[in-house]
Amino acid sequence: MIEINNITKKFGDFTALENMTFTVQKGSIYGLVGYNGAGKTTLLKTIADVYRATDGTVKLNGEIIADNGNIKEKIFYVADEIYFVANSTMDKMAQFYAGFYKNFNFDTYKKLSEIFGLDTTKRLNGFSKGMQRQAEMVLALSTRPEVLLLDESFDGLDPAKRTLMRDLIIEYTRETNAIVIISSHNLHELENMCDHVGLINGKKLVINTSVDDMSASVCKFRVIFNDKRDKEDFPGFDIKNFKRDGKIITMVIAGDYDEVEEKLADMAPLLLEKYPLTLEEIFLNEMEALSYDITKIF
Amino acid sequence: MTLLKFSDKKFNSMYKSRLKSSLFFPLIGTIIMFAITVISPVSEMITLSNPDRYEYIHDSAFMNIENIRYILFGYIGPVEETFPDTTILMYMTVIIAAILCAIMTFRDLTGKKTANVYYSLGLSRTKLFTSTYLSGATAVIFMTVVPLATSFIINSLVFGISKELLCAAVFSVSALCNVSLIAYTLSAIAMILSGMFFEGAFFAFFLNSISAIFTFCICMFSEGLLTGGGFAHRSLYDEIFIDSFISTFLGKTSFLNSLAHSATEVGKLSYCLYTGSNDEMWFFTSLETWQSPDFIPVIVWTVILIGLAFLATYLFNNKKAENIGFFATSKPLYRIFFATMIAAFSSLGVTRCRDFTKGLTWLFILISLVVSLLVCLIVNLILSKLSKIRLKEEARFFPVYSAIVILFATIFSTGFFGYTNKIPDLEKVKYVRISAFADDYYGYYGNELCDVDSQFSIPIYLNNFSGENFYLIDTKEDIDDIRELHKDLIKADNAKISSDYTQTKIGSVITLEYTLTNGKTVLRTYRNITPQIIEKMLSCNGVEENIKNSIVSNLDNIIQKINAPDVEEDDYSFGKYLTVFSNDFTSAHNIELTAQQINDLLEAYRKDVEQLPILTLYQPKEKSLGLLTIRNDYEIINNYNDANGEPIIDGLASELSYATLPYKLMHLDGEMSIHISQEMVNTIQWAKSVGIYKYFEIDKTVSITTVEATHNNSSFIKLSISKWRNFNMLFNGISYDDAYVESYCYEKSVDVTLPGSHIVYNLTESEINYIRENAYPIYLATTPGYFIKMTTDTSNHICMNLFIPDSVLTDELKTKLAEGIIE
Repeated sequence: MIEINNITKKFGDFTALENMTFTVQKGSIYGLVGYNGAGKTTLLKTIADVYRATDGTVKLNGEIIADNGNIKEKIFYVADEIYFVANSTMDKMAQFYAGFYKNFNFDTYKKLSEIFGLDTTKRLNGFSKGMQRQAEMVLALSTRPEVLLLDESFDGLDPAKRTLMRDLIIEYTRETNAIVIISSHNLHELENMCDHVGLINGKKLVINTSVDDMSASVCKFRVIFNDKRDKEDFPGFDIKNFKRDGKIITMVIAGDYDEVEEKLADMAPLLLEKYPLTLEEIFLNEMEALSYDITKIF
Repeated sequence: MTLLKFSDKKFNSMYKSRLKSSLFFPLIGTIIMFAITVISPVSEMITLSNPDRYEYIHDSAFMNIENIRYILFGYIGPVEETFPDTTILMYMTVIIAAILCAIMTFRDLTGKKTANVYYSLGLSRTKLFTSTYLSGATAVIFMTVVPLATSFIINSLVFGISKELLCAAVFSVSALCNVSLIAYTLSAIAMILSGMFFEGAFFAFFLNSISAIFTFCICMFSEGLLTGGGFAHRSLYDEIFIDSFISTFLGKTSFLNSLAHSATEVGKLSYCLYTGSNDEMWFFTSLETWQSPDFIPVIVWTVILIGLAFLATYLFNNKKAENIGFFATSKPLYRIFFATMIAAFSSLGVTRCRDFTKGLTWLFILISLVVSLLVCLIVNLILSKLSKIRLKEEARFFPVYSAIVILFATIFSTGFFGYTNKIPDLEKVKYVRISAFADDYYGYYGNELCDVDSQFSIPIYLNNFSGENFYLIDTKEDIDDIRELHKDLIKADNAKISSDYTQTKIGSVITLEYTLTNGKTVLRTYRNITPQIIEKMLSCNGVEENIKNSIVSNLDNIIQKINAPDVEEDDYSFGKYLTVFSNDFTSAHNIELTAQQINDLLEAYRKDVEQLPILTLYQPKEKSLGLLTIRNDYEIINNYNDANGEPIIDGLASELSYATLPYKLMHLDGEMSIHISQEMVNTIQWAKSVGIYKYFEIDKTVSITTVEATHNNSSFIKLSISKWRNFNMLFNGISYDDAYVESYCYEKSVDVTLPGSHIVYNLTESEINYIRENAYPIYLATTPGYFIKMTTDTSNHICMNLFIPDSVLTDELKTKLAEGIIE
């Protein structure tokens, strides 16, 4: 289990993360979402001990990660900007990582390389960006880490490889009970892969929940009444979003899915329809407060 | 246990990984070091295996069989004339290679992409740093130890191990390792503190040069502002390994400077190993016996090195990885940079004006300080635009840096608040040593017979005037004279610029070294020397006695050689060929002397030296008669042509005896020249006895076509003697110069230009003759007077330079000579 306890990270006067607290259980794939610059990479680098937290601790299995070599060797961080030793091949990089990760498995490495169809004897700087990402993922999984930190690791991959990578991560987590924390802007992909998500907004983790709970806790309803109604006409509802088009009202309401539906039905609408929200809709809904005024720019 | 083992494995993996990155430059350094310390001595050994060569070395004055066994290892601190350059090359090699090694080793820890990998690996920061640091350190140590160890092994195998050899090996290895590891560690610190690779590389070199910049600044302040600094005057690279360098500020603080760190010791060591004992080489004459090297600076630096390594570890542990990839994120680094730059630029102002008064020196310092502040402000503004942090705020520290510079300058300017102007009490002084001039004389505007390569040697009695020697003064009266001279030196140092020639600062240096009764020494160096001080110094009994003793001792040696009973004619090495010149060089006669005649001449001259004040020898009050030039042998010029360009020597010169051979047809490589004035009664008596006195008569049939003149009070001459320092206060015949070797024939005559001279018209023949009769071919030009250049008609092709003091000129002649003087 990874415990992030009251993490604060400041860059000079600027606070990137503030009092962030959450835990990720073993066998969990945790998705990190947020606007650009929200602090996802900062959080991942802090967990990986690249950055030092200004305040707070990060623990793995009860032990502080920071400056703890024995714990850090259980974590593999795949950065958004990939680096390989100059003029190296995948085989050389495998040798390099094998020196630092005692669980490095050359069989896994060989099999994964074959699956991705990568030539392990070719120089990596001759690889395309997507191939380099695949190579990095092969190396990362070969170290068989307890914690895999992935920062925008699906960028530059073709759809087939994205699916393959996603399946591999799910399979790896299931087989090894590892923890994967992945940041991505592809919310649809995260939704299909993650069991938990965290939404960073305004330096803080504003949502930290399981995907199932999140789907159950918020829902979109479309209702039509025979008269014109405003938001104030729905007391007792935790309305996250309210839109009216004539008599047609579209609302996003937080709360127990069935209870909300029942209460709305009691108000005798002419029409009542419910739609489960996608992760993307939840993300956009949450961020609505920061809506941009794009008028009068051009 | 397994955990521990894997922890070691991770450490080793990082070590090996970084070692590959760090090896390139140390390997190049190793090759250069091998060339210096192994290949060169081995080639020397091969040469030595040649019996002829061995014999030569065995017989040579500076080498004997007992010392040969050290020759190879001498190359640890390389030997022979080239050793200073080679020692510097060794130090430069290891320092530069160590800096580049650190840059390459820590390169991956300063990259944005690479930091993600290395910082997230399963290593603590300390282990990550230590493994990286040690990998580079290994390469650096390899570079220094392996070549030196190889040299040591070769020496041991060929000549056997000795205590001295072992001691020298340990010292050289530890000193060079120290230097290279300090350079490496400072560079590592620069890389750690920097956010970007190029920034780190720049600061790696910068941090390593700080000690040199610091010592340079202090040295400049010392020379420019300090009245009577406690250090001898030497420039760093000209004289770095000469014994007296040790007395200089740079010498005393050389161990603070990476480049000079232990270099002097290595040089001494090398010399001792090379020469053994009782040797007489031209350098390090004071180091005649084996001296164990001083290990204390090495130990101190080892402690400092360990401290620096810990500092580097601390800095790395606290390094903010988020700063990687950004420019100018380390405020301390930039504070050091700006502070050093301001200090360095300010001291450059001192170098520009150190020959002027203190007031001007201060003005230049302040101007250069303002300029350096402006430059630093502009640099700071540019950096602020580029950098992540608010570097602009650093400018608020600039006044602090400036205040420190001014404080330092004030301390030096006041002579450490009057401390350096304190003259030791007479009763506390055991003896004092005084050096005349530290700068060499070039004889640049000396007399010259331009028709041939007339190379008149500096007269023997003036040799010791030229300054490298210290004169020892040990009687109370003489010491008191020197104390009085010391007072004048202090006054002259603070004096304003004077229009009086005798008060002109001539750009020489006088060093006084008092040895007190308690064993301590007080060393004072003065740069603002005037002609008046030179005269006063020569008037000091102690100085005079020293010079006379030196001349007499030289003459005695020669006389002794001539009179040695076992000297055969072929071994008779002192010249028997004499040329008698009139004082204006228009008359020249050759005479071949017997050994007895030479002996009598030197005895007579010896008496004159003993009887006359030394200042009279330099500045005769009576008229000059001319010169006696004595040489061992003469060489007939084969390519002498007449006015039509036809060779006239073929078949002629070989038939001519020395006495009948025109001096124009000879290569005049004089052994020594003696200037004869009318006060020198003994020498004159000898000249009369051998019938050559008449040859001092000037040849009035030689007509003078052009007369040029310049007064030594002219601004050109003053500038020459104060600033350019190529002006010879001692106006005399030039010494031998290779540049003139090929210009045997008078057609190729070398024209001598007097600075600021002008052609003098309207001189009557009698006035010209008056000048010829009263001018001196050799004269200590500390009194006002004219340098005269005369050219004869084409049939004689003589061009001579003479000096005539104002005191012998009539008012009318003074007016004529002064006309048209360019100021």
